[in-house]
Amino acid sequence: MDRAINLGDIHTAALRSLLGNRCFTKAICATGSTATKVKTTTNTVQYCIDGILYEKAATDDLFVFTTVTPQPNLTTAFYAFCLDKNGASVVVNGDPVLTASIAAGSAKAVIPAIPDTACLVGAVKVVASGGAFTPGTSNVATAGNFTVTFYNLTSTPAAGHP
Amino acid sequence: MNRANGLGNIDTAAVRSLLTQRSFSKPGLAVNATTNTHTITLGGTVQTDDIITVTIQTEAGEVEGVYTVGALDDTLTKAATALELVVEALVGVASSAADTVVTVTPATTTEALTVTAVVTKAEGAPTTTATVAETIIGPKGVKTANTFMFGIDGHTGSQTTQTNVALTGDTLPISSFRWYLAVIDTAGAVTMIPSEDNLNDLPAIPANKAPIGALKIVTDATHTFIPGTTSLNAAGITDTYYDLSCVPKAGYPA
Repeated sequence: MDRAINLGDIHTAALRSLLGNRCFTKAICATGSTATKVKTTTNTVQYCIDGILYEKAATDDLFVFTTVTPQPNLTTAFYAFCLDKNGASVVVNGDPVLTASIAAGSAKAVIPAIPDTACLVGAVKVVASGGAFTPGTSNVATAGNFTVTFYNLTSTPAAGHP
Repeated sequence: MNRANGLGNIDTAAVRSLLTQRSFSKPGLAVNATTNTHTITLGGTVQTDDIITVTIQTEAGEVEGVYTVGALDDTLTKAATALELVVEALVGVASSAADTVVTVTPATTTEALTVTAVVTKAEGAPTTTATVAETIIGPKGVKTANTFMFGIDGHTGSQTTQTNVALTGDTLPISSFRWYLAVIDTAGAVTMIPSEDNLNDLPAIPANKAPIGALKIVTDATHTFIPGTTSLNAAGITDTYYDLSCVPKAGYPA
């Protein structure tokens, strides 16, 4: 073959995505100065989309929730933090799952599907235990009604969640 | 199985290649920012009436300087100093002399030159020699601007900024395009592999190398591109750079 092996030679979409869209450095996601937003800390994030490398300097209040449907009380959900080729925020909301069902082993909350045009760099798990969590309005911080846990990701783990 | 899952467990060559030949951070592929530099080193035995003709192709056109060794220029160092005055007077050229070496650069540092020097004598054989060397390729080549990480067959490596990476290949005709795939080997050497002309497919990645970037060169309707001779900054040439972790789905950065 006189041409390079490329991602188009991978016919399984999931594998192609895992090979072509990756984050290579730790974003260190955390609550932003604006507590309803999420920042990346310290590290410049190196990532690729369709094999092309990009980088994004650590940025306060980088990730902004754009889908603001409330997550009901007594549920757990993952919110995926992604970057597009311009380094812009893409936040994808996962489906809320009853926390009791997760504890019983009958359901699980997972990282949602990521667009091909974005790269997953982190996520937050929000457990709502005293009221609804409203993305964009509620603080992304552990306090009162919510327990939040941040993750830094290179891809979605095998279990579908960290 | 009491051993780690290894790349040898991947029996699909394409997957194995995409897993094992990768870059993990932006190398910052770009045109060389260094100044194209040639040296003319005089040697042999300086002899009165030896004629040194220096021909320089600038981006504006060809200029020529002729220096005839005079009776007072009885050492190579004096001859180099005198030759430098001739070169300095040429349009589009800057120069300096030190010992027996004349250094020639373009007056505008983003341009490129081609330099030749020929020694003749009206009667008999000249005994002075003039050897031209291109010591810095400048904008005829590319650089990586960042320290970057890469992997080849499971081994990780890092490389600091690289300059003066040369382009090779045939002349790219007018109204054409060509891709160059930038690769790095296990020793950290960066090279540029040309594609077929007017074909949107990056060339094959050799074994034991990882892709780090790509360069697309497009010529307009009136300019050709001669690798190793034409400046990437020259009129009629469009150069576009990409940093790659692996080769995109389309076979090139679409």
